[in-house]
Amino acid sequence: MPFYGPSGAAGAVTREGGNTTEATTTSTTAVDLLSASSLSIAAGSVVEMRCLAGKNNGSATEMDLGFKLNSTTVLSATAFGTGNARDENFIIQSRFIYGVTGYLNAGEFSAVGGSADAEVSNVLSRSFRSAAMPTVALTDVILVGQSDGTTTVRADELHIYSFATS
Amino acid sequence: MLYLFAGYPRCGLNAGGLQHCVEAVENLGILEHDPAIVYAKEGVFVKHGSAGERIGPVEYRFSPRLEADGITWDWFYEHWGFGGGVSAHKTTANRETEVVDHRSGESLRDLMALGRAPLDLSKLLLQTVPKRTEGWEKYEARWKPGTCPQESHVVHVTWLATKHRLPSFAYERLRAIIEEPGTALRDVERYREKDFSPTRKWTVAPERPPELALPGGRL
Repeated sequence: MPFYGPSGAAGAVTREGGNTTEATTTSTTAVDLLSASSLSIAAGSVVEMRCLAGKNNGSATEMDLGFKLNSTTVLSATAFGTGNARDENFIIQSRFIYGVTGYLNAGEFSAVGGSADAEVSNVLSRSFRSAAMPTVALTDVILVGQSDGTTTVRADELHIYSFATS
Repeated sequence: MLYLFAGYPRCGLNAGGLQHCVEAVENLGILEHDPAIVYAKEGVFVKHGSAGERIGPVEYRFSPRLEADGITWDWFYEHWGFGGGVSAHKTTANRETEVVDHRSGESLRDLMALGRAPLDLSKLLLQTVPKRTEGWEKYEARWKPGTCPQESHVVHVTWLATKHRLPSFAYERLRAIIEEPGTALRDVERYREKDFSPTRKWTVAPERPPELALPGGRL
């Protein structure tokens, strides 16, 4: 029996109340996968990012995740997860004080999660080791994803919080 | 060749499912999977270790619907990574607002700033208006003039990198699968549960004006 997809608003833009879904990729090179744009965060702001990421049951490899601030890759696509052929999903968190000269690699990017069929949770943490943070206003935060070409890497719910400094 | 389409696949396929459709089920084309070939905004590169050599500009094709929505090559910022294979990208843009006096246009925050005279609120006509922040203006400039949605929204763009140009029948079939609601997949029994992503309604968190921020500056 043919499968008929759900009808809904066509086009690239979804407004509140419309249908949305996760971002996904099968690319074997780094892809700008999930982005929060139109931000206006000044240097010196305390910033937290949270999002969800995962990989579908494909081949026995990790998924690669990276992080960009504006167009600067502060963390290149790096292996997260386990090298097991199974579904895995993670809560991703990044914390940093944005754009303070002298502390531009001081950022944390971490993933905690695992699989429903394995009682193992992975805690993986990386610093902003690929490049220094920009010092101009932060307008775009991007989660970068990379697959091995067989597994689907997925991500959703990217949220950015900036806090008043005391 | 890079093919870009508006939205996410309306039939519910995720990137892996769309790849399965293109390469295994309907044989519409051959995707680029070489990890040494990098598609970026600045061109196509070949990776040599940690370095890269530019081999030419990106050949791309936007679907008519994507262009009608206001998204062109300029929508993608500097150093955008398109990757290979299939990607279904998602961008969220949230519109900040502020409370202003309708008559003077001054924000409530400015009217009550330290050093200003006491304010008689009964003399104000208040309204919440969109705020033109630096981030919003930079984002709006990415769109074709007059097409950027003026409220919080989500943008989905699906793209595929192929080794060769697609024949017209393959391109139109792909476009229909991605952009046309109700397009039926063929040989549906060959798809697996992992080939699909669920859809859900998108809701925006209740907005709280900065003047009513919670202790600690939280909004």
